[in-house]
Amino acid sequence: MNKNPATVMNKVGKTVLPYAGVIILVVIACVSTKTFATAFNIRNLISQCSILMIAAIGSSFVMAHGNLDFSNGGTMAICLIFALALCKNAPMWAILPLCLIAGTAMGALIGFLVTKVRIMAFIVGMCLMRLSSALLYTTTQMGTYILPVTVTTSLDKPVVYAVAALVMCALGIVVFEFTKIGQHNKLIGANPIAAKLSGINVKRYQFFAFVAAGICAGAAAFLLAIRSGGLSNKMGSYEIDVLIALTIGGMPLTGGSSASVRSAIIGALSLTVLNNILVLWGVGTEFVNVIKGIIFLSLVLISSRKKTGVINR
Amino acid sequence: MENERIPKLVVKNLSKSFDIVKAVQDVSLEIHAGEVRGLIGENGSGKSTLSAMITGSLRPDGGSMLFNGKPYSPKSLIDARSQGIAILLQERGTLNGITVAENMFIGMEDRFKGAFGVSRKRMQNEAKNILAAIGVHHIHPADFVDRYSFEDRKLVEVARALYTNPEILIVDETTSALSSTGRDYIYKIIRRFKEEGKSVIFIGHNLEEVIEVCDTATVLKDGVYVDTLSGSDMEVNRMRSLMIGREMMAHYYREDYAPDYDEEAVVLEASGINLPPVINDVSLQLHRREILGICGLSDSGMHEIAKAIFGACTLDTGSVTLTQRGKRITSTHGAVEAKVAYLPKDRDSESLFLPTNIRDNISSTCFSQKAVAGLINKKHLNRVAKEQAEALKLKCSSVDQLAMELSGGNKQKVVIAKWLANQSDILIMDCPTRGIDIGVKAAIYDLMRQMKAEGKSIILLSEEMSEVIGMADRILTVKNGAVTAEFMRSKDLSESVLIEKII
Amino acid sequence: MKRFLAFGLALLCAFALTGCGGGNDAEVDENKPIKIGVIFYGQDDALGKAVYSYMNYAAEVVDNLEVQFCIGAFDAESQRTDAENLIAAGCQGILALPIYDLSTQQIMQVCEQNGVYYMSMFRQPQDETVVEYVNSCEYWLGSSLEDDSATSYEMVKILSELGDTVIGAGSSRNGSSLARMDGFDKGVSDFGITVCGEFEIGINIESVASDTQNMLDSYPDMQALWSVSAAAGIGETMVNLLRAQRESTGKNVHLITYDTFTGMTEAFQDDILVGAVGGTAPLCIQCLAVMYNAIDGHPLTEEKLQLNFPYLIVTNEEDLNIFETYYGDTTFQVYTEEAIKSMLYRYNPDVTLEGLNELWSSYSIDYLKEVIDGAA
Repeated sequence: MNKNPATVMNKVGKTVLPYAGVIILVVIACVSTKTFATAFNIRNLISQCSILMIAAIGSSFVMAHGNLDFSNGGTMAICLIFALALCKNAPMWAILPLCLIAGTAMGALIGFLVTKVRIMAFIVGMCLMRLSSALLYTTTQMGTYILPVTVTTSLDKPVVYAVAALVMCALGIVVFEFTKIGQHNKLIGANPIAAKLSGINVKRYQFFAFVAAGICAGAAAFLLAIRSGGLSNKMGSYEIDVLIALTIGGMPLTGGSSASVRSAIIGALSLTVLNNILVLWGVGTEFVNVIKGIIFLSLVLISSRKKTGVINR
Repeated sequence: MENERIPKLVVKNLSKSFDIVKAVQDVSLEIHAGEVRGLIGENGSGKSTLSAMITGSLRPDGGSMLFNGKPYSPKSLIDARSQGIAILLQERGTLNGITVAENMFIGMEDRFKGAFGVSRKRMQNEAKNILAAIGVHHIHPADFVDRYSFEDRKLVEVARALYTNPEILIVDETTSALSSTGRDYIYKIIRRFKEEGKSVIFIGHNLEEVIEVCDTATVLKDGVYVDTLSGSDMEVNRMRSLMIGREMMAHYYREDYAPDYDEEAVVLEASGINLPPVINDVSLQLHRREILGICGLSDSGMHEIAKAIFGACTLDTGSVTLTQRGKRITSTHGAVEAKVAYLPKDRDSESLFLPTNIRDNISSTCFSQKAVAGLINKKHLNRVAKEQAEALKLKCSSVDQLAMELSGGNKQKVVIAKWLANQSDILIMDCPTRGIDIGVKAAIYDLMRQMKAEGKSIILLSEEMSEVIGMADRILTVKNGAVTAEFMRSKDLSESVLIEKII
Repeated sequence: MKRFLAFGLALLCAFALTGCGGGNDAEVDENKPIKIGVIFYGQDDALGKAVYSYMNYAAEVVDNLEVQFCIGAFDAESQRTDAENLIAAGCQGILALPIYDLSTQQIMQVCEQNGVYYMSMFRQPQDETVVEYVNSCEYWLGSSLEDDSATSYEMVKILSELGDTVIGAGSSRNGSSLARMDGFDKGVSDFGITVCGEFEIGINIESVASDTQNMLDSYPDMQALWSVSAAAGIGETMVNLLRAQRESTGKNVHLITYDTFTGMTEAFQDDILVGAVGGTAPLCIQCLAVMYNAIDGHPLTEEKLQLNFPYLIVTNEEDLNIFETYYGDTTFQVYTEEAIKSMLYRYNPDVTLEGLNELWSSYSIDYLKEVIDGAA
């Protein structure tokens, strides 16, 4: 291959460009506020973005094959109900494995409903969202499930979130880029018929994508438990936040070959930094949404490929 | 025909570039009244670009045109049509979601304006008349166009093109997408044009067809005018050599005329497969080193038979077995694992991942090859893709190029490459040379010969009789989803014998 | 490989930039503004609008006070994120309406770690472990709650003064309404009232309607209805049913209820409605004063506060008029500049918690009248 400077620059540009949005945001934040670059704030940013990032990594598998994943929030809620309420008497160390088990099971269930029963993933997610919020409400009505402060403070450290996020990123990238789960899902997203006729077991790999999303949601639920200190009666709209993050990160809504875990990383970082600097700037609450809208749009433009656009035509 | 002296259309030094690619360079042509002019050349030779400039959908970079002796520079398809030059496009040109009549009068609704807006009734009556004029009675103007088959929609387009009563009609590779009945409509129209002293520009891949339909044929190569042939000069081999710029290799098809395969070694057997109403009790055997030809009409069910053998359909009854391993094919992934390959007729939508790069397209069949600790070996896959691209002389900037940017022939090469990458032993090739220029066609035939020599087996399905006769060791004809006859390879086998069995 | 490299580079770049952007303002400034962060669920409903307006007014009239809002968080994790961001933005105290006990614990945890005061508005932690935890925190100032118990008691008193001794109750005996029921129960026993029947007020308006009708049908001697809520159409429904009852049987049943609703004027005129309760938004100024003084180095008390703030009880058309004209207009400042400054040590070194409690507990329709007359 020829290594002339122009093509090398081009390559570097192609790989760095999607991150340009985050980098620009960070630069702006550093220049315009004194407090963005403090250790305190960076620690906060790490723990704030980890949950969203991990959930989004899982969803990128589902998005890759062209399904809208709307199940994060629901799966996370059910993981927490399972680990904190149903297994109330389990030892504290068991919360993580319990969350992962519940996440895997939920992923498998959703995968089954989508691939075998053939309900659209979006619908399954919507139903799960309703169901889980009702379950959360009833569960928290029956009792409070709050982790002891000693446990949360010992785990609620930036390093825990950072390690969790890095491990999940690394796993996500390896599974997405270096196993058939990621690669096949991308091809299924690009052309499901061709995927089937190329000998790809479409349903099986779609199923795996949902399981991956479930496992990630389980891991995210664990961090959420630490971060929110137990089982809350309401949960953030993770399904929407994840979709926004992935889109900002350049994930095409129809999936396909430009899908990548990178979108989850970029998206979660951008979204977190954005929410942070809006507060640091002290933007009046009237304008927060206006500014958010404008920045979202510019981030999407930066991160999505020109050729294919956000939505493939 | 008083103005026979003045050419109907004069094209002078037309040029058009896309970025650095010179699609058409300095091409000049004269087309006379009553002439049917063929326009031939390989993919990318500039035929479609030239016709697009004549019909106003592209603006020339340089050169000029005269139409009936007057300067002519159309601004759009509609402008060209109103001036008297209409085109039938290669791709689908009807809009879904509106009726046949509305499709026919897009941009001309004003003609039907009455006191109460556009009159649908008048529009539909008019549409009915036009369709009847080209002999089509089964299409109803009030129906939504989506209801109709590809072929019927094509006819709607034909009717639309003729409505403005054009003096020049351009037919851009339309016929390759049509069945023989559909083609007959077009031939009839071309004849009528000729009789009325109007002109036709006929763009085609199928040289035999061009010879039959056209009076003269202009050859383009790499955007440059090569020659215009007429009369007895219009001969397939001469055309081919002009198109590719060298003498055609003598062995286009196979030169041996006897069946040559291992009769004892059945590698694949389909027994009594049924999927009514498209497949009716089909049984066949494929031997080692055999090219088994299957031919039939497009709607004969043979494409479905190919899919069924590959495990892509759930059969009512019957089974497909890989005899040497004793393994049944029940799914496409099972088939691919057992080294069976399937090259579909519609490669864009059934085999290629268009917005994906060439490497991943090729890797799609063989991600687990040389996996390290269960992880995909990207280096290896990259090497395989490069090797395949090189071996097949794929024209691409690199294996990172997206498949959608390739020409038809090169797309087919990518499809072949992906199956070769999986080291397939049995290849089901459905119309492997459809819409492909001669250079790549020859390369595909070469490859089939080579694979046969390597001991692989091929099922070749084709709607082109000559291809099957030229390549297959054994031929099955298919009609109404059932096998009607079997022929062994021989020098005397003629197309008419086969046609009798498929119609 | 290159992709990972690029990612690493991007991260490095980001961190390098964060490094140079930093810089602590180490100097301690006497006149450094006091910045208070407010975490609230919204600013579109009556309460949200009022709180937003009152607090911004306070920030405007008090020279060295800054107030920053974070609006819209509906769950514990997001509220915690808001707290973190507000602290990063330099807030020295956080006032929040916590969505759940979990939020209280998490916001407290973040504040305690960073030496930032926290006070809970409109909510009081219920869960024992959370109560225990916040009480152990140095930076926990306490909570302020609407005075539910006293108000319920007062409502029963109003009924008894009207001579209604047999009443029905639309109640809600779970978490957030327990204090209301306590005051009700106490009033019932103190004033010798007979509760002829009680039904649960849920979120389903149809069941509220049928339950109310059942009460009317089953207890013909019922003289009044007490309700724990009139929100989301409940008030309108009850008034309609009572009016229909009177038209068909000629018997008048009074209604006294928490919350305000539409059509109250006619209901007062018809002598159906005898009392409605609302208007606690100025509670936020109470919290603001406690927080300001604590940050300013002159806390009102060293103890963990459990403040209460009175409701406005509207008992006639004239009161309603004042309520709707002034309280209903969120740009009307219930606490004037003078009143706000009198709550702050910096402007009024004689301020005491006892004095302030007196001021706050005098909040009523009459207090509103005084403010209006003072302004006029």
